[in-house]
Amino acid sequence: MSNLAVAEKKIKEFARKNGSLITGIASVSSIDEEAPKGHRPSEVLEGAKSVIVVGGGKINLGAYKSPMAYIPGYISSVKVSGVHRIAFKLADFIEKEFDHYAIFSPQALSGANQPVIDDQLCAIKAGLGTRAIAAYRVLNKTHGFLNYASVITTMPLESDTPIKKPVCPAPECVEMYEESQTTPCLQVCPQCLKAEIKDGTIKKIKFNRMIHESRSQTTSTSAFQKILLEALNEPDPEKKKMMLLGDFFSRTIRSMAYNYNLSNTTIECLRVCPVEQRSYSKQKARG
Amino acid sequence: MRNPEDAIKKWAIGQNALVAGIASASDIDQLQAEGHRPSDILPSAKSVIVIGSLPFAGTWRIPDYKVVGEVAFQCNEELYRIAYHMADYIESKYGYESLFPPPDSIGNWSPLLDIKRCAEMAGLGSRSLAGEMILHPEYGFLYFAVTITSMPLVSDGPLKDPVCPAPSCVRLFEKIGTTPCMNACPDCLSGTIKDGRIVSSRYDRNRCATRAQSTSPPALQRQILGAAEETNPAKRKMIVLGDYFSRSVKSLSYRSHLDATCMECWRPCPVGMKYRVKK
Repeated sequence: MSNLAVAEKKIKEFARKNGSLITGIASVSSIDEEAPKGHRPSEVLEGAKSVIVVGGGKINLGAYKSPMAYIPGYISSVKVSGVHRIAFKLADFIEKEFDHYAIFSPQALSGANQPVIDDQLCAIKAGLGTRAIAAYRVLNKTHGFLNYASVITTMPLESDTPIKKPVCPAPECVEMYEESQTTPCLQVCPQCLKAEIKDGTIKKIKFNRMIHESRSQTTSTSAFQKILLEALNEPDPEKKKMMLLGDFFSRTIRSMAYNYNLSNTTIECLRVCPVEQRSYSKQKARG
Repeated sequence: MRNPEDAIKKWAIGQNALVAGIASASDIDQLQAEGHRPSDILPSAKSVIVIGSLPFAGTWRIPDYKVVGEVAFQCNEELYRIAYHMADYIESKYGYESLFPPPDSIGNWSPLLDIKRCAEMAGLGSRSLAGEMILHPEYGFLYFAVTITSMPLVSDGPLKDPVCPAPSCVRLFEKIGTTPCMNACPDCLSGTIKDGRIVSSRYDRNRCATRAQSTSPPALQRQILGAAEETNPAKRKMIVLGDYFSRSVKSLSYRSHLDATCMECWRPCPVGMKYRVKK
């Protein structure tokens, strides 16, 4: 086994031991080709050669079964942080073990809603899954929907190959589409999602993030800004007081304070995906 | 082979929890208001696993109460991490639906799930005069976190004898009509003891919040309201750029001082005192 292959094995093993369910490697150049300017790994870390993507933080089946809309969102927030911790540890491991620069991809958004690095794109390039109709998320055949985090490094590594056969649409979704021109995810949220399937593959896909945000990110930082603006513009002092001390504003502030429900608070389109459901087969058997 | 109850508790303790107990979800359901029951959160809930741990003993040696709150809060966060990993552990090892419910308040002051109630029902302690916190018979006051699961487990059940008041507190109350905790905060706490048992207990949460949670999310809301109502531009500038507002915003950003920053009623409690003292 070559030194490079040994290093890759060590990296993937380290990620696995720290909680990653799947790990893949992509070349920086392959991501740079598709990412817009300002969002390329080479712009975040000078001399970057490789991006290692860890996937994990699968939402508990229990969270999907909760009738309270914000529970899956809360659990999802917690899980995202967990995956980012794996990436953080992995970057540290690479610097110490291999003496190459490494950083974990920043979680922060640049501007209003643009992530600095598109971890989903990195996951696709690292062969961990393909885009799904549901919220344009990356779908893995075995694990369904996962949260992803990336480590950008100057270490040259051999890339994994992107998956050729798309995971989405699943065969039963193709059948459903042929019969009724919809899929489980499109059906559950026809306002946010639109797609066209032909010959078993996605031909067109549209995820309206703006509509989605106003529905599923009601306690996000943007929601906080909107309520604050409305309250400041409110001429009636009593109404202003009600807005600023009321439950809704309280929830947005608490969301920021405790770092939960900041992004997705509804994941209805993920819940109905047959690939996602199959990934929980063991739990379902005991449910 | 070890039974699953012991295996789960051992796993939690192996992850750095100090104690672990199991409560029946239906027992808790009976005592909770609608919308705050384990079965409202997870309809298939059968058991609630509660874990607890202590803040560092060094926390009690910090002279600045703001730092006390921050250090203690981080211990709490660690416990939450164990609880959500426990949900993963139960789902992957036993295949039962599990989740870690949000530990914080939903809306203004109502926690989604009363974690203290869960701890009580899991036999990890009983209500105390000190802010109605749960007092563990060995370790005293602990932080708690829970995992709700559809896995049927044998419940530990509540303790038979209350831990509070401790014998020394009973003697003190008989002599001077107070206890160490009530003495430390007579404004927030009051209570009466008769025949060695708590007869009445009052904890004024709203007063405690204005004193002990002065940089919490509700405190920031009050300050935003104050700034919004201020008509004098110079005064408004002072409010928004001043020290107090800055501390509240920083508290929010760095997740520090969000909850209790005063633990004075906890400090003098004789139960578990030995775990709060080091060399």
